[in-house]
Amino acid sequence: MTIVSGIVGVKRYADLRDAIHLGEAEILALIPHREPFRFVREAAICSEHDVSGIALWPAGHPIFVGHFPEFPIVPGVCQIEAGAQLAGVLFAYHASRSGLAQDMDDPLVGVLAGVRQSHFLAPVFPDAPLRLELSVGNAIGGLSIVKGAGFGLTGKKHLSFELTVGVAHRSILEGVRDSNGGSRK
Amino acid sequence: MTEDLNVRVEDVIRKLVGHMFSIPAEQISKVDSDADFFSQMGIGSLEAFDAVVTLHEILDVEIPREIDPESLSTLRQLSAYIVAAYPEGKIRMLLDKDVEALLEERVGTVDAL
Repeated sequence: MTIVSGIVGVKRYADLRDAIHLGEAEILALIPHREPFRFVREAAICSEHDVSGIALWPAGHPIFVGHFPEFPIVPGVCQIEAGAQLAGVLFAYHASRSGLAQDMDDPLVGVLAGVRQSHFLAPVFPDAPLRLELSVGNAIGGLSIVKGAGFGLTGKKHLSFELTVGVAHRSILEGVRDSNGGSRK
Repeated sequence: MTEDLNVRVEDVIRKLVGHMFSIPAEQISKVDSDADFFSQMGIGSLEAFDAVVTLHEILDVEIPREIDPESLSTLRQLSAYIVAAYPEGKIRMLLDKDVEALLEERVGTVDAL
């Protein structure tokens, strides 16, 4: 790892020989996201705080019907969501190995709580793998800062972002849904 | 001396959070140092978290592993935490610059990745 101005940098994906590599099956077991809104395809757990992964939006994904007709581009918000999903993989992986028992009647759910910064530097196109590298800070009251960047196959940086992520019991989220008149389906 | 330093750091925190969330000066001036700081400023837990993170970025330090948010709920507690935890040089930097400069120069840009 490298220290850059007090921020722990992440390992480059190509150097992750000591990382724990997760494929689609492992990722599906860790996070609740499903098609067509699961964007993370592979992950490499580098440390307690660092994770790399691959996000990909295949040609024919329904989001491209409207964004845009005749010129599909991955929406920036979906790239941010991919970062949040990868952070969720990291959290869930470590939680599963910490020995902490999940209350299956009221499980903890990872939530995206804020986007502090985001810069979209180059467009991402269908079928183009986006390599995400994240570094997660220590938590305060269940909230953490996730700093991340996304790179194309050539190493060109496509985006950078800083997210606030947290965890909440599902019952809390259901209470918010019910008080706001949200649908259960 | 330490008490005076704590009061000065309290003042910086008050101004910083007020600036971050556009809180009227009159409201900032009425903050009781020993009551819940963030609720007096009218901001919720997520914004409070953002403020604490921003303070660490300004000081150019990582958030410690074990930090209890309940122990940082009042202005006096926040100030005492900063004065106790971080070196004089960082405290001096906090006191010497105005809020806009502190926010502009803080470390933590994601472009470092």
